[in-house]
This record gives sequence, structure tokens and C-alpha cells, in this order.
Amino acid sequence: MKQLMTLIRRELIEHRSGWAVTSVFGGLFVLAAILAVFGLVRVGIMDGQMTLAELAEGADPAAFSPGLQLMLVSIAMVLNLVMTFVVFFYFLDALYAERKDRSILFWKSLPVSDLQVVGSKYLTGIVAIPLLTVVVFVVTAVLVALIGGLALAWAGTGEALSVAPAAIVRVTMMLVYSLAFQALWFAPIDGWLLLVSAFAKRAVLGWALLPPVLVVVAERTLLGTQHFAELIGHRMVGGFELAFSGEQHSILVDEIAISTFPTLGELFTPGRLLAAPSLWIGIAVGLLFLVGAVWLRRWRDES
Amino acid sequence: MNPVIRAQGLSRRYGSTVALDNVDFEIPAGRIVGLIGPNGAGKTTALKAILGLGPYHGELQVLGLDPRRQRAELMHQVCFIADVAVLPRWLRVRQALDITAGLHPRFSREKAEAFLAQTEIKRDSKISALSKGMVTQLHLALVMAIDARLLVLDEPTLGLDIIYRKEFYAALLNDYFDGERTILLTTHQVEEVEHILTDLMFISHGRIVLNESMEALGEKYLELAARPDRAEAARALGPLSERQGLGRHYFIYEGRTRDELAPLGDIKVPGVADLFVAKVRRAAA
Repeated sequence: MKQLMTLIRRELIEHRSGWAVTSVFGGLFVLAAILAVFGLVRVGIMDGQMTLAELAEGADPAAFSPGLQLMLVSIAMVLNLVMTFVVFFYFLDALYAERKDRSILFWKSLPVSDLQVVGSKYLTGIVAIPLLTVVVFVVTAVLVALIGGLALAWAGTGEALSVAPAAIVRVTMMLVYSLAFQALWFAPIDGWLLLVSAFAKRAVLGWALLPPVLVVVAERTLLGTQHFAELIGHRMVGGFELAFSGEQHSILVDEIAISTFPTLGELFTPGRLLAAPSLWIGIAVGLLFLVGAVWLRRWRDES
Repeated sequence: MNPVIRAQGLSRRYGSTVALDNVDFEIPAGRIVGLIGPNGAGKTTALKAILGLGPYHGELQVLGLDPRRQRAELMHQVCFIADVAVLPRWLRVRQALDITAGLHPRFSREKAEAFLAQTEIKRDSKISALSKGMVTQLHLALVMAIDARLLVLDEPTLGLDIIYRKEFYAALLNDYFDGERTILLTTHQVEEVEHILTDLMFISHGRIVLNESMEALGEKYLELAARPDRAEAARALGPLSERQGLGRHYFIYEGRTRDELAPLGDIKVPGVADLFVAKVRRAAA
């Protein structure tokens, strides 16, 4: 356990983008909140129709909670998306950088197996970086809610401030669930990236993207079908339909539906996700790629 | 007592090139062995096999373990410095200590700190900001603080200036070697390690052409400095090599007694570098 924590710490020191990039985005949201507050107070919101005081007086108190949640959900989605890119490039670099700078010879002089090392890198990408993203989100959400809530409280209503804790907890749970689902669902993609990272002598990004593109092109020209492209498309987006109930959509679009904001129990469908064969096939394929990455790190001769 | 390393029929090819050709050797505990050979002779291949870093054919046991299948276990007992400057450049010195301590159960942080206290290395420096000599000092401090039974050094002082090189070997001999540990090292600068070695192994074209303790070396090999008029007589005794310089002919002999050679000129134990050239030329011929 001590070794595993040390290995993960090593990853986070080496790949600072794992937490730094999402932190920057979190900071931008806080900055935006501050600017918005001053903007509201001085010139009114976007079209200049309402000042903060009018908003505080005129708004339906029942709308504060869903409104805040909606805002927090969009922050969470942005952070999640940013993290997805960060993790993508992290996995591509994870087993490549240490070969490129030759420090692999130092790491290999320590009594840690290749399975432990590759495992620690995988866990960094699917657990450690997501957890740090959750931390960044919570800090961002608290600050944004505090800034907005205090501004509204100063303008006359404490309603926003009092509904904030529950909204933050709720959206945090949505983010945690979403990240956990992605960790499982994207296993084959993550495994593939680590395999490429352990394999490629240079141009890791090319090695990661070119083979699937070639398969798609070859299938289309030779067979005239596009099963592989559909497979990849399903892997990219199909999981969300399994993990979340479809009603989420109508909430985000339809403003009247605010009062029927679904409970988390209605929103999450872990049973449907876990019962889907495509999830387990994906995990099996991902494990296969990881085994390949371990084997390559063990036996690849660097000289 | 079991040898630290036992190799039988150790072989490795890269395509059609034979890097190690059916090599047998044993290294007992408590020795400082210099593995000397020209580039491409198979030194690094042999070390890689011993460290479980590359595949090989034949039998190989290191501390009774199979380097292929028990590599992580082996690394509890074996340390190595593969090359200069392979420490991760993005680490800070303090983090390097933290991480080694977190990953190696036999690492003593106090010892490493004590070694570092003798240097000018700052704990907060990034490794990328250290000079090459300092990186090697740090690496040596990390390795010497590990209670290992075998230390393998592959060209540990390559590219360092002379002061660091001298200090490196002095630290190794005085602070690390205790008569029970075993050190196996390769280097190009034979003269610098000559005086610390207990054993010498020459490797050429994937074969071991000499494997002797330093004591036995002085009995088995002799260098004769003969005046030109004695050169013919000296040649008749079948030297390994001959070279000329400063009005003398120098011959290196294997298995000749001092009594046989004494009438022909001055006798001394050959330097490792000269002996190496003689043996490798002979093996290549």
C-alpha cells in the first residue's frame, strides 16, 4: 500500500497537468463568478434588464436551488471534459516519458514489479486524477456559491446561500458517479493508450489514433461496412445512455420542468450499466491491453 | 558459500550478432569485480541479463534467484546504476529521497542524508538543475543507502570530470564496501579502478578471455622490459604481446616464471590496460 501510494505520488509529480489544468479551469470559474457579481451590481445582467437587487427581490425563491444546480452541473461538465483530455494525454505519456528520458533504468532498479508500476499508472488515471478533479470541483463550487450567494444576500435574499450546501452535495455526487462510470466504461480506450505508450518509439499520438482510423478506412473500402466506426462511436458516447436516465435532457432544456428536477435515484441507472454486456466486454479488452503494456515494460529492451 | 552470481552457458544474440557466446562464470560474495571489454563486447548485455533487464539463454542465478522470473524480488537485494544521469530530471532531491524510501524497504534515509551532507547538493534543487557530477553523487548516495548484497555499476563515471571520478570510487570503497557485499562494475577507464578491484574479467566478442583474482594475476602474468638485443630471446618464450618504447621492448607473458624471465630484463606485473590489450588482441587473432 505504501508502495502504491508512493508510485501514484510519483505520477502526480511527473505529470502535474493531472491536477493543474483542472485547477486552472476551476480558478477561471471563480474569477467569472467574481466578475459576474460586479457586473450584476453595476450594470445588470447580460441585457441590462435586471440588477442584482431586482433579481433578489423578483426571483422565485424556489428557483434558486435548481438554478444553482444547473450552474454547478455545467461547471462539473466542463471540469469533467477538461479532465478527460488531461487523462488522455496522461495515459499516452505515462509509459513513454520514462523511456524517452531513460529514467526507466532508475525506476527498474527499485524493487517494484512492472505490474505494480503499470497498475499504479492506470489507477492514477482512473482514480487519483478523477478524485483530484472532484476536489477541484468542490472547492470551485463552494467559492462560486459563496460569492454568488453573498452577493445576493447583500442585495436582499439569503435564499441562494441557504440552498447552496445541498446543491453542492447533489452535484458532487453526480460528478462522482459520472467519473466512476467513465473509469469503467472507457477501460478499453485507457488500456489502448497505455499499450501504445509502452510500445511506441516516437509519435505516440499517431500510434494511438492511426491504427483505429486505418481499420475504419480499410473496412469501408474493402467491405463497404462501418461496424468498427460504429463500435468506436458507441464506446465514446453510448455509455452515457446506459449510466444516466434519459430524462436528464428535458430538465436541462425545459425551464418549466425545473420543479421536476429528478432525484439522484431517478437520474442514475447503475443497474442498467452493470447489466450491459458491452461494459464487461470493454473491461475485458481493457485488461488485455494492460497485460500487453505490462509485458512490454517488462521485456522491452531499451538499447 | 553459494556464489552471488552463477552463469552457465549464458548466451544472447541480436539478430545475427552474437552478443554473449555460451559464457560461464561465477562471482563469489565479497568481491569487487571489474568487467572490462571493448564496446560491443557483451558487457552491457551480460549486466542486463544479471539484472533481469533483457532476455537470454542458458542458466543464470543471481543470489539464488532467476532474474527473468523473480526480478522484483531480486531488486530487494541488488542495486544498480545503469548509466550516468538516468535519475528523473523532474524530481527534486527531497522527492527522490521520499520516493526511494517509499519504494525500497531496505533504504536508509539517514544514511542517504549523511552522504548528501558531504556534498553541496541542496534538498530543494530539481535534479535537472544539478550538474552531471552532482547527479551521480546523488545517485550514489541513494544506492549506498540501500542495504543490498550486490551492486552493479555500468560505466558509472562516464562523462564525469576527474575529481568526481576519484571521489566516486573513494566513497564506494570507504563508505560502502564492507567485505561481504559484492560490486560488479564496467568501465572504460581501467586505470582508475585497478587499485580497488579484487577480481578482473575481460570480455571480448561475447566470450570471457580472462577471469582472475588480482593476486593470481600477479603470479600468472608478467611484463618484461628487455633491451633490444634481448628481444629475440624474449620472443622465443612466446609472449602474449610485444610493444616498443623508450629503447626497450615490452613483452607480456602468461604462465612464465620470474626465474625464466629475469635474465632478459626488468620484470613487473603488467598494468591492467596493457594486459587487456594483449589478451583481447590474442583472442581476436
